[in-house]
Amino acid sequence: MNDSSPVGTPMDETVPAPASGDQPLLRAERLRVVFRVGQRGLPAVNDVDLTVSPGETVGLVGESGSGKSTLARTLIRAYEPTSGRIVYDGQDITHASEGALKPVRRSMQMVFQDPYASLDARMSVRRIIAEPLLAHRVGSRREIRERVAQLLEDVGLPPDSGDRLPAQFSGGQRQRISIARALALETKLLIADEPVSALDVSIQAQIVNLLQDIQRDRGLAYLVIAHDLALIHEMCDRVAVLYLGEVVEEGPADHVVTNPQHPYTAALLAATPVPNPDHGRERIVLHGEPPSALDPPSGCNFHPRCPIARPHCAEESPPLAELPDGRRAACFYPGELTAVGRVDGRSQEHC
Amino acid sequence: MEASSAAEQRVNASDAVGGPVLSVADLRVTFPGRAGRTLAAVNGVSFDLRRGESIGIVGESGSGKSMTALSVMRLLPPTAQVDGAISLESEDLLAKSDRQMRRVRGDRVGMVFQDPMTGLNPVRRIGSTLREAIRRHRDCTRREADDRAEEVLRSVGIPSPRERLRAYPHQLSGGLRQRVMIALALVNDPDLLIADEPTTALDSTIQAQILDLLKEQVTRSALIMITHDLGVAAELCDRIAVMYAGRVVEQGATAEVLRSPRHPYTVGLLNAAPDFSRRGRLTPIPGAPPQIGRVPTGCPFRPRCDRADATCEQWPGLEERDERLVACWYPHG
Ligand SMILES: Nc1ncnc2c1ncn2[C@@H]1O[C@H](COP(=O)(O)OP(=O)(O)OP(=O)(O)O)[C@@H](O)[C@H]1O
Ligand SMILES: Nc1ncnc2c1ncn2[C@@H]1O[C@H](COP(=O)(O)OP(=O)(O)OP(=O)(O)O)[C@@H](O)[C@H]1O
Ligand code: SF4
Ligand SMILES: [Mg+2]
Ligand SMILES: [Mg+2]
Repeated sequence: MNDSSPVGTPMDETVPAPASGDQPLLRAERLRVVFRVGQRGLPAVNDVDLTVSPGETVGLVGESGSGKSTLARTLIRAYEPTSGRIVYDGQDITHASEGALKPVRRSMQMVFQDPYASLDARMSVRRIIAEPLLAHRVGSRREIRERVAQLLEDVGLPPDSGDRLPAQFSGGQRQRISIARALALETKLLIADEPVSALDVSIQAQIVNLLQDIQRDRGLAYLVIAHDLALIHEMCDRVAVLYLGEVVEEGPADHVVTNPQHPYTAALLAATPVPNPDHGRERIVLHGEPPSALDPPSGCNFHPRCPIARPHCAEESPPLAELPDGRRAACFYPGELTAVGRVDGRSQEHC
Repeated sequence: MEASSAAEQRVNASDAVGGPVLSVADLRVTFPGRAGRTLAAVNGVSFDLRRGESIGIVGESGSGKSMTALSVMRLLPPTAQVDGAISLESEDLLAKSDRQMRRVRGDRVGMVFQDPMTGLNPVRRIGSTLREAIRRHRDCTRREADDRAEEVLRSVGIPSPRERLRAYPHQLSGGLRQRVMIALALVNDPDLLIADEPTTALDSTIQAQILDLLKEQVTRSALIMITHDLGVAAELCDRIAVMYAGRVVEQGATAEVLRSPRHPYTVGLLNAAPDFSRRGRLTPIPGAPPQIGRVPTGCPFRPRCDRADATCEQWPGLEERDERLVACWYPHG
């Protein structure tokens, strides 16, 4: 257990965030999370800036090991950051104690990929959903019962589901149970780590629609983690693309996904198979695999796999710079590699 | 040439150049259920496959894709009962003894399994596993086997293949391990390669590399690609068979099926997946696929189908029209 706990010197408690009218619900600044692996430090999250505004849906996308789950778990303070700052609802929670986090945990909830693993198999569904209410001592027994019945209805489960065990439900229904539990308290921010990746396509759409309906009715903010760019495009207002613990591109989901400026985002888009024989997408096949965060490359993290890298890219690391359309990309040559070449009449061959 | 019957379950049969590498006819896989009932995991699947051709078997979890593949390999669970006909280059595979099948497996038919650790022994070096696979079917020296092992690792794009022969499976990343699995399936130049969800556990940029690799292989043999992802089938397969609850409900040329799906389930699958072209609401298929043993009579899709009526309580039969097989009383188009 010790070997995998984040290390590093906690920074000074910083000044409280200024209370302003349109401040984000959640703000991460220069967030770093370093795991200790043997004698070495593994920077799983590296200088990440991220905001989520009330009612907004922000997506996190990137390959396995890029730090998506670590970032999410740090934001809910399951991990303590090595450095940087997390401000939630006007309160600096970077190093807040468990006691100080209690009210935060009432309104910041998480849903996981695997509904099998995240639900206690021996508990009735009613008990599972009531758990956060009991833990925070909210309401009388009768009120809790009524609240659970309402939540079951909200997530589209039959009223008699409460008495049954998780094993009696399909994967999609189990995900509905975990969503109901996450909504039991006055949730303002729901962090969903790959909420539909374990589900069949026809069921995925049911859960995505459910999440969208809940958001419309309650004005929640979502931070959605997915490796499927099409899903991110469908669900999110903004998206941050992670590579080796760093944000390489960030901006409005529609711009970033359909017209990527960072070559890694372009490659991700090109690599997403679509069931459309006429899509005319550019083929970009990257060589090799993401390097280990234990042994990151020099210069730009992406340069060993980048089809447009120049010698310069191995020496200097590009800043996450703002582009004219308001998005940000960490590349010296943004927009040079596109995944939509044939659509605008250009043609490229990068293999 | 207009006669269309369920018996003539072939698409493009008239284009045949030589006989099919593989022919599967009316395959049924059943398991014993409670009170003497039988549960059908695969229920009347038929397809032919020629050299250089690839077929995608697409469907949701539990639809019978893996059981179809394992039937060809004769690797079904011991309680499974298999009926129908499977022939490889006109040889009846179901009539072969276990000993004869061992000679077919890994030699004339290679398989990449759904779970990347199946087929790789965790305590054996990659080289030793490959060498054994070669020498089980070929009479050659250890040195010759090593050379062939190195060659096949190189052909699937594994860097420094000679050194990798000494690696254990856990020392490789998921993507490299899946390449080793493919190398193992290809090591004896099979006539048929079966890949069961070979990229599901991989990142999309690595998936793209593996799909490229499989595409190259198709030109040399025939490929059955099992996937739940219509996009993957679109990238790789000439034809697709869409399975639902053990049955093929639609089968035809991939581009045609995707451009103008006829079966309501295929239509539903395509509408349910986000596809970049639109934002806004997805259209899910209501309900969930049936569990084995709870499959409705008649059309199995009936409880979830917006076109269903009382007619659908009878199985519509997989009928051919315009080189497309569709099992529906009220198909689209
Ligand atoms: N508890 C831990 N101890 C040590 N290293 C860890 C720990 N958790 C994650 N890591 C490492 O941190 C990096 C980021 O992992 P993380 O799980 O956040 O990635 P991810 O983007 O969520 O990947 P996936 O898509 O596979 O879920 C990886 O290199 C991983 O091996
Ligand atoms: N040993 C067994 N005994 C009884 N039923 C079984 C057995 N193995 C599999 N089945 C059933 O056979 C059906 C088809 O299973 P199969 O593994 O072919 O599905 P699949 O399409 O490959 O699904 P997935 O996408 O989840 O891999 C399922 O309903 C499954 O529950
Ligand atoms: S046969 Fe009937 S229930 Fe089945 S897919 Fe066609 S219309 Fe729907
Ligand atoms: Mg993760
Ligand atoms: Mg399977």
